[in-house]
Amino acid sequence: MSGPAVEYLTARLRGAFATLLRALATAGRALDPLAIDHLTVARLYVVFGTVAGLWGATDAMALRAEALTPGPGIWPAETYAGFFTTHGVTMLFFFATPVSFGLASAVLPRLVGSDRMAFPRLHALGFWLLPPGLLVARAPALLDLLADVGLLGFRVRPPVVGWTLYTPLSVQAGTGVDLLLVGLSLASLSSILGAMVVFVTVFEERTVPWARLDLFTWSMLVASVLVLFAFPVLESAIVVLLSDRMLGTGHFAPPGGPMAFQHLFWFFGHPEVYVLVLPSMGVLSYVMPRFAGRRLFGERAVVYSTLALGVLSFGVWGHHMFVTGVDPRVTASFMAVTLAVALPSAIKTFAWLTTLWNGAIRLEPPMLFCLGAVAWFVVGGVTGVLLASIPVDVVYHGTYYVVAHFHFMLVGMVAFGLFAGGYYWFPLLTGRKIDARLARAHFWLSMLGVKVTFGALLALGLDGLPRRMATYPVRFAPMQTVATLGAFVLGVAQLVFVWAVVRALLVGDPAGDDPWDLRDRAVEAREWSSR
Amino acid sequence: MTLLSTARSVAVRVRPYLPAERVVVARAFDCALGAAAWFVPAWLLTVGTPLPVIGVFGGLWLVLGRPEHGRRLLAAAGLDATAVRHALAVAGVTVWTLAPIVAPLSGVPVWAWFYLGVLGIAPYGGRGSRPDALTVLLGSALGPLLALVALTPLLAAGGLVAGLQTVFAITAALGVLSLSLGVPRRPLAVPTLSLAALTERVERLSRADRRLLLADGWTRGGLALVGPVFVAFSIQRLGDGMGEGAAVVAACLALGVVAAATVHRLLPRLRAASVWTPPTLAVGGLVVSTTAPLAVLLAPATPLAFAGTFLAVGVGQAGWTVLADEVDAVLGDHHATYRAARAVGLALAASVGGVLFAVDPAVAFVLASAAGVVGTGNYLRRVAA
Ligand code: HEM
Repeated sequence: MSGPAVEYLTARLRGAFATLLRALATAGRALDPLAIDHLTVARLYVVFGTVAGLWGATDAMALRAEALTPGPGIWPAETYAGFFTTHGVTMLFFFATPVSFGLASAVLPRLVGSDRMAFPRLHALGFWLLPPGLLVARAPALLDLLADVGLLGFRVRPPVVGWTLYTPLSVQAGTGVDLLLVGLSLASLSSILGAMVVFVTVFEERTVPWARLDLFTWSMLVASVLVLFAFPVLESAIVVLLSDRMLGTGHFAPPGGPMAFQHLFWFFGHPEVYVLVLPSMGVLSYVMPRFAGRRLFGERAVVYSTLALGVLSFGVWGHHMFVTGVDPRVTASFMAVTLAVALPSAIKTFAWLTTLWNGAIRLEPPMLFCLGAVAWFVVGGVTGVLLASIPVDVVYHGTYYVVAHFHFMLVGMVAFGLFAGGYYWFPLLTGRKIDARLARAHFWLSMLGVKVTFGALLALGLDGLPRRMATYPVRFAPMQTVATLGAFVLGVAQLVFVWAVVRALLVGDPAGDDPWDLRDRAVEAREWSSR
Repeated sequence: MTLLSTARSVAVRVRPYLPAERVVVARAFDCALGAAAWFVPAWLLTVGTPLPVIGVFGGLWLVLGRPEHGRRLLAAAGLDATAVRHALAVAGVTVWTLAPIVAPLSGVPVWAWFYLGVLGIAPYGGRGSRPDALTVLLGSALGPLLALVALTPLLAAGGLVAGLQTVFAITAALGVLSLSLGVPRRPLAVPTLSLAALTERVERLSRADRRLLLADGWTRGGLALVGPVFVAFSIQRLGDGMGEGAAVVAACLALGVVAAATVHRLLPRLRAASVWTPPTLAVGGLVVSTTAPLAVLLAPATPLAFAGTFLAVGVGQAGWTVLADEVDAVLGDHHATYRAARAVGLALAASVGGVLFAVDPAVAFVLASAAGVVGTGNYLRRVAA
């Protein structure tokens, strides 16, 4: 064995080992559980949200695997129902919201001209409510698994109530629901704390004048106001529901109770979808101009449209209840307000597109995800406007059409927007650059996955297939299979993202103080300047 | 020092196959495909495909499964690029995934769609083993092993039909992922074939060497009779419905892979031990392949008995390797032609096997063992000579 070869190898091995150790040490510092500085808490939020998102995605894969066969396939119907419940809850409460608050925690201080978030301890507490929340909410499935392999003497039935928790089912269903409700209430408390911190930061820590405030901060501000008004309603509904379940009260008992619950739930639920989508809209408005080499077109109009969405979002909850027998005069007004939501949404879309017009567009990963998000936002929006019309909703309510519509929004717009923000601020969060080649693969596979999966679900819904069913008539099988193939592609695409992150952390280039080469292009980028 | 020299050669060999994610994903696709392919005949059997059709399917797989044959076709069409082969394979698995659904709609039977899929997959040639960085690093058995282990719970949960369809869908997604990351280049020399030269060569062979070819032909032919339905029949014997059996057989296959990999690791040392070990190994391998069909037919239908059978088949692989090396040595440059010709013969045997199986499984499996006995006898006479 020749000397140089031995040296080469030992050097490589030593190098790899040292890289690993360094990465572990850095991770330990970067994610210090006791820290309360905004960047560390931000990292914790983002890492936790990403892990939860992957967990929720495995639920989705399990759902889609079942849907491959029209008859009973991989899982029993009850397990299927358990999966769509945990999937919805995990994605909404433990993935999307934490990641957006995480990104906000990382950049908001710099954007408003401060060096901290308000109430650092509450800020950290807001995060630390999430991990127990997730574990408790998902505990039934875990306990079920333990019982399956014989490590547990009793069974906890999985909660099969869907993320909407409709009564009377949610009052009658087994113990799993109690755990789910406790987990959810921790999550909503966490959101309330997070929103409070964001709100106070913008008002109290801000040195940048309102007129020069950026669009991401505006969006987070409005989202946090929505949280502060909406989540307490959810929190109360959960407490009342728990009391119905455990103390034998009958607040949500028929005849009127279930409707009361639905009103409370959707009074929270609809603003919640804006809590989810506003941060992504903010990311788009913030990031796109930076890669188009232009200022955002119609900046003032975009701010007003954000505020308008915030206000309108409290006036549309009835559109989730068109088929419940609410008085037509009432539903008609909900329909009108819902259609009105299209206006501010269209203003934003218009502003994004016109920002691109004649711009010097750079198709870096954050920009790619922004463009994808705009595309899916249009698809989700158009399918949504149709649903807003009562006669259409009466037909498509409870079908896969609805599932497709909200996934174009939640995956296409919300998740894509968060990916755009995640890639854009990755250097800020980690000090590293991410491999653009992998990011591009992640983007294109995700585009393909969203298109195929939710396009197929849309077709299934138009054909009348009801949602939340583990089995279905044979004639739906072809589209279901196409949807599953797409979903698996979407699923493996996220592994590329994980690998890109791991790789960047292990061997990525240092980010420097202008990772996206914005300075040369005279684009303002406040968040990098204070590094 | 040997450790270091191994490490060095590993480093040198691994380098061309980086970056890592490309290798891992390509290999994952490959192994998932390989693992799924084991179960296709069983799947076809469950959904009521006529047995002769399954036999022909097995034959097709044998002929086309050697990448050089499929690639010859692609090259003739001017399409022999790695990415094309890969894309065709992904398309093939996608067709398999969609087969049970498009069949009733189109009126074209489900097996025809599987035949179509094989045409796409064949030129790719991946069957769970190939030279790449991971193979070099971790041995060629790890990937197939992991794939089989991952497949087992899916088969256990969903049974053969739903479980395997899920595996097809996952495999297709992995294939798309791998395409998007860029497919590692895999140059493969396509040997030129000449039947005339082979015949001439065989005519000049000594009696003993011809016995070797006879032994090879008989035993492989015998195994080909039942090869396509080996897994399917095992599953059938293990469970009333195909559900339970499938997961057990997947686990048994995993065991077989481990066994095969272990003896292959040891092979060079065993060979070097004495002049008698190679022939002993070869005989061992032949005996296993002679008795395995009988074992599957007669062994008690318990997981343990089948695990033992598959384990033995795995160990027996070493004997086949020794035999194949001997054949190559005897035929020199002509071994590629011999293999191509043999593949056609085996495909015929597989087709006949399907018909025999339809008559009665016992007929096919007993005849397979009988052919194995003839082959082993020929080999023993060569060694004795
Ligand atoms: C990874 C890609 C995803 C796939 C393939 C997927 C797939 C699905 C499917 C098939 C269902 C419907 C199950 C049924 O009705 O029978 C569903 C429900 C749902 N998904 Fe997703 N999903 C994905 C990502 C997301 C994301 C990112 C979010 C939110 C941010 C989300 C939120 C929801 C919600 C709220 C439901 C309704 C659950 C319920 O019915 O209670 N999904 N998803």
